[in-house]
Amino acid sequence: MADKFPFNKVLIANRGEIAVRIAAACKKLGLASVAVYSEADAGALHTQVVDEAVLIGPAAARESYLNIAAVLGAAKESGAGAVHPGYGFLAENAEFAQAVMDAGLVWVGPPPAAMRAMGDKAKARELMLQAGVPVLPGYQGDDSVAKLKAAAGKLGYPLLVKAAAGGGGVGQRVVLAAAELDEAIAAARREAASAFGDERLVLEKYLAMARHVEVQVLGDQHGTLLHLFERECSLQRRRQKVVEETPSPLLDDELRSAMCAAATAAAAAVDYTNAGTVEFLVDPATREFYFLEMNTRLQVEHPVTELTTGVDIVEWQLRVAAGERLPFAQNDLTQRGHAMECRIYAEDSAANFLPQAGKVLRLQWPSSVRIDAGIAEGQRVGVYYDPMLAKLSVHAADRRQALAAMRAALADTVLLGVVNNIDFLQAVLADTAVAAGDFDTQFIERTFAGWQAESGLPAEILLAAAALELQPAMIAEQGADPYSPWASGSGFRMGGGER
Amino acid sequence: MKFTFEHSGQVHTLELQMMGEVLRAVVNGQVHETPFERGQPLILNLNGQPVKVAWAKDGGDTWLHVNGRTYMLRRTAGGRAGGQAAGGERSLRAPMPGQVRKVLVQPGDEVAAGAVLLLLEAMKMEVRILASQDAIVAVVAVTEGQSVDKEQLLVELEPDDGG
Repeated sequence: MADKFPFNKVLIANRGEIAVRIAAACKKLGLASVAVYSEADAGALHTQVVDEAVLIGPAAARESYLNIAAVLGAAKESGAGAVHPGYGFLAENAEFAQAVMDAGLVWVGPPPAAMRAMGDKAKARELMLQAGVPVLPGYQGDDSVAKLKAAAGKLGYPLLVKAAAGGGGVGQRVVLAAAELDEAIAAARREAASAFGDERLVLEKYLAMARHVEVQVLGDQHGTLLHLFERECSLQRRRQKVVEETPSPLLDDELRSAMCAAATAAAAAVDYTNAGTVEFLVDPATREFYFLEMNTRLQVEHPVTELTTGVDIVEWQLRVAAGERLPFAQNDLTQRGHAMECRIYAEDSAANFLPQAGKVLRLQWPSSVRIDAGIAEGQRVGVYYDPMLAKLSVHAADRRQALAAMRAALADTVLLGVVNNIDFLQAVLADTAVAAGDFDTQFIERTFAGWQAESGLPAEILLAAAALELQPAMIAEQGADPYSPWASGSGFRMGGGER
Repeated sequence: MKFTFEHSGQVHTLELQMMGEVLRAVVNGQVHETPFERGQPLILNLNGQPVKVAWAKDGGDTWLHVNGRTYMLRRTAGGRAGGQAAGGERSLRAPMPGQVRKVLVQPGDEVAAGAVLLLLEAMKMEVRILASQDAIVAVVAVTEGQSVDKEQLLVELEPDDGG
């Protein structure tokens, strides 16, 4: 199969579960794969599932996974003919994409021009308006306080004052009433100026109770651009998705086809090729939807789309990058059954989702579900990168069965040694509103604020812990307790002084 | 023998006896008996109910997975586990593993309750370590750029007696 490819070796410019996932797609296509890794990732799972691995720098991402010269150097050194960026790190960096192409390598992603067009939020909004893709009612232009006030009066409240150059909620203020506008404009301008060196502001209608629904698109280099239906991603904490599913329980056929058509129009407006995702906010009250942004890369939650459509998205990313035509048409694609994904994070869900580290002491995945993991037993989870460890994905005939399968899979997952969110995910999925499919992007924040794992300790837990302390050596020594934290001063975890 | 564990900030104590292949434990005045063989998973049998326990140990920490839930128990010394011992809030420890981004105080500094003592960063999140009370900084146990584990000592404070 590899002989019809213009390349036979792919450099994976990423780490963790997504690097492992891409390596699997390479293998399926008979392509050799090359991993890159930082000093902190020596021996990591993603370096073990590839044909070769190249050290590209110290732990700090700036000096390794975000270091364009180092990544390109690894590609050259290994003789790779293509670069797959995964998600995060350099995946949406148009300069990197261009540099890959300038080095004579195949970029497994969209054209840099499309990445730039979608990366500038103000420009993207303009383009979408021209393409007839619905955007939130808003105002952009002369942003003197007087003009903004007049525009706000027309838009109505609540509204959002937003940095034109912004992203990630920086330089952004929710304004509930006219009286708050002056202060919000001043504050947003200060923040925008210091964060982006650009104090331009725009206004946008604010949706208090919105759903996040996105559409997967896939295009080849011969003019075929298709959608692979939607994903429902409203279950979020800290503005980050934790559970995704498809189909969305909110959509009916009419809304689905309108959103999917808008997504393909959005992608077509920037001459998109390869895989990408168009994100929308949906107002559940009016069932109106609005363009949020386009992610010009592979998405974390792509497995649910693969499970329901049967299309291996990563495989097709490599194939269309190689110049192949998509062999299926829009009408060939259907959604079969229901798929759901949960993201397993190294974090303390009961303490503001603070990232956690540690050694994976014991790891047992549940059977009959899809596992996308970046960790293995015995490995350390560090503090340098995103704390997502793995994804569990299930596929069933309908939503009810998918939900049940996911709850069973979470309960069967044994991940010991690193504090993680598996118990929290089980609590979320046990909620009746989640079972009913009735939630919005702030649902978790509202419903699970101050969540704590049940503090009760069943007798068998205590008994088991004590039983495990019974070793001949221990019994002999029971006079002096070697495990006493008071004996060792600070930190009494084995390996605590390792780093 | 007597064992004391901490779980979710609470201290639990039990008495354990091994009688042949049977474990006899007293938890909160209640007696439990179960056949016991150390294995993976550990299988207990309480009141005719088999219980499968996946487990891992890391020094004094024991991780257990039972009925879909994960527990971490930390072995503590019997009599002093109540947290009454001197130290308490005077020893400020890392709430998460990470890197020390900035150290803002040095030994001998007088600090007011709520003052920022140092900044800790992990995975793009910044956490400020604040003085728990009006105090004098006794020890700064870390330096800028250093990696720290969760619970690692950062700063020791001496209460300010208002002298």
